[in-house]
Amino acid sequence: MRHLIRQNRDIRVDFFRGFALFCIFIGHIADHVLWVVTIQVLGPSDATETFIFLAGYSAAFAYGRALDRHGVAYAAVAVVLRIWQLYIVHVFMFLAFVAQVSWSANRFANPAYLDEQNVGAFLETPYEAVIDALTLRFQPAFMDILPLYIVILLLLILFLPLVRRPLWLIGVSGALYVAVRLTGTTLKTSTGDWFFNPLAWQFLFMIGVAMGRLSDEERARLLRHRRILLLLSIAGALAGLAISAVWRIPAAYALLPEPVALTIYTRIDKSSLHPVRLLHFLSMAYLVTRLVRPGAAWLLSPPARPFTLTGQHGLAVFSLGVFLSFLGRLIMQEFDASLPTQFAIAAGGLALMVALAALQAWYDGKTAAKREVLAAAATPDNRSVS
Amino acid sequence: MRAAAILALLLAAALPAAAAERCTAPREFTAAADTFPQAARAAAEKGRLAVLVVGSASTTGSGTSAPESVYPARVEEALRTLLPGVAVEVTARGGRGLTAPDLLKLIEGALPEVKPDLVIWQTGTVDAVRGLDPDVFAAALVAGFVKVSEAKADLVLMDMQFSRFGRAAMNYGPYRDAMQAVAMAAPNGMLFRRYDLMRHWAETGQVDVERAPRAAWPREADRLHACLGLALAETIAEGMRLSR
Repeated sequence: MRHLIRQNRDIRVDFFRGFALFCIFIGHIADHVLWVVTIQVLGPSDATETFIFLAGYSAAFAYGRALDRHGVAYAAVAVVLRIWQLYIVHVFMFLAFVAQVSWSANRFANPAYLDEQNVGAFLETPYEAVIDALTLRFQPAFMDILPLYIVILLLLILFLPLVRRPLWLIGVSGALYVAVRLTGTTLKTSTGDWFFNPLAWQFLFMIGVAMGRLSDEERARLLRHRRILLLLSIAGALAGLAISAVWRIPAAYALLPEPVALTIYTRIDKSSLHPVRLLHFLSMAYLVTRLVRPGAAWLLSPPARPFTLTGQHGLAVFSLGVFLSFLGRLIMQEFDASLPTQFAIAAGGLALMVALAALQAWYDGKTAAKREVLAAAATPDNRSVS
Repeated sequence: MRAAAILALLLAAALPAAAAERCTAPREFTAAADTFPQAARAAAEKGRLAVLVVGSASTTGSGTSAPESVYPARVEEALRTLLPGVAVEVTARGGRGLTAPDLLKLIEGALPEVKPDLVIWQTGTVDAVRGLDPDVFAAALVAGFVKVSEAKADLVLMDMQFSRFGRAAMNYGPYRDAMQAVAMAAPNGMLFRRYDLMRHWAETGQVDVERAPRAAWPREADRLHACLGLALAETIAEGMRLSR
């Protein structure tokens, strides 16, 4: 597997993106026991933040290069092609959900579950459901992260001219975030609000883009007070642990004065990326960059390889992961939810994600080799060294 | 797995009713706290306990063989045994497809009429199935707690029924979290964890409505409601004892 991992880049990003993808896969299987090893136990922010931020960071390189070489229009087309891929997956997931619900409806006809049967109500007006699905307004359970990613990429097209000025990008994107938080603006689904408000979450993505695009001077200016940043991020990480404890352990909840505990419990929303979640994530991200050196050996150790490899093919693995979560839920519905089954689902899912990433890496490697051969043939004086 | 479930059903059918109506569960799922001051006072001072139950389809009796088999009736029966000398009166209201905001209106209407000392509010399913805003859901719960407290009653929230299909097709998480949060914050409220209980009963083969053969559906629903009613009554009685 090791030779499939490209090392001409910051593989820390790949490892953490791969791990976040695995966490999202587990997190979208209700009642799955392995949630205890996912990022969410560390504090209010979870794998969603990691994934969105790193998606932005990677986008800075992918589309930034296109932008520098071929201009805004070319980069915009590149983003549109990405969006189209995600949109196809979204429509496919809608079909899979329809199949699951209509197939289960018959056996689920037990009148003891009258209220639950309403989940199939959309089948009575399929024309509405299909239009809602195509316009991203139909977002049943666990089908909310693809629409989020799609709309964020749409916003990226708008923000492309700012990608060359990362600090401006943060400013404009941040202003939108603040405005959205203050006014409570969000997008509507057919039944309510978007679970992930893309107008708020775009900020984290754009921070990722900006971090990937900072010039050396800007980076140096940002890191001028390294000690203070480190202390702040340690404080943020510890506060995150405390919040996680208040959320999950009744005894920890009882330790705090009632109004404080209640505020922590009820006010930190995920929908519009509460600032506490944002700050916690940024603290963790900074700590990780300090603790893990670029190219650290363990990132290529056997236990880490599956994540580093899958993280290099984020889009494909993310799309597959959404479907694998669906299959995992289906297995727990149709077969059983015992611990061995749950571990088998986790291991099988990870294996399939790794297999897809490996295939993609092998294919990309061949394509790149072919391109090099062609380039070498066209300009014999300018032979590629690798 | 399925064979085991069928075997368990056959065994259950062969054994007398007493064995069938006893379900065991870990203590943590039914543990009560001192969150029933009004109910405890009513029972001690007036010798009566008026209980109002509101909820959606699973409260108004879908799937059982008879209206008397639904859990509110079972709670009444069990509370009368557990609280000797107390006149227990249970009133159930609600209907299929009612959301938390719908049920909130129903509670407001029923409070002056029923004058309950304790309100059991079963909710969350319809809201999750329809994907309504979890914040709106939580706000309705908070408003319900305020109304019930003003009417000098305690409140038990009851979450969703467990079903494997429901788990796979609905995202109950945010709604269960909201119920947990609101119940935890109220001095006179608790969350009765029906989802966890039913999941435990299904996984241990004690009661499994979802996998029962069609012919056994009503009987299995009866057993479920009997077990639920008993567990709920025991939790309430224990909570009242702790609140004295």
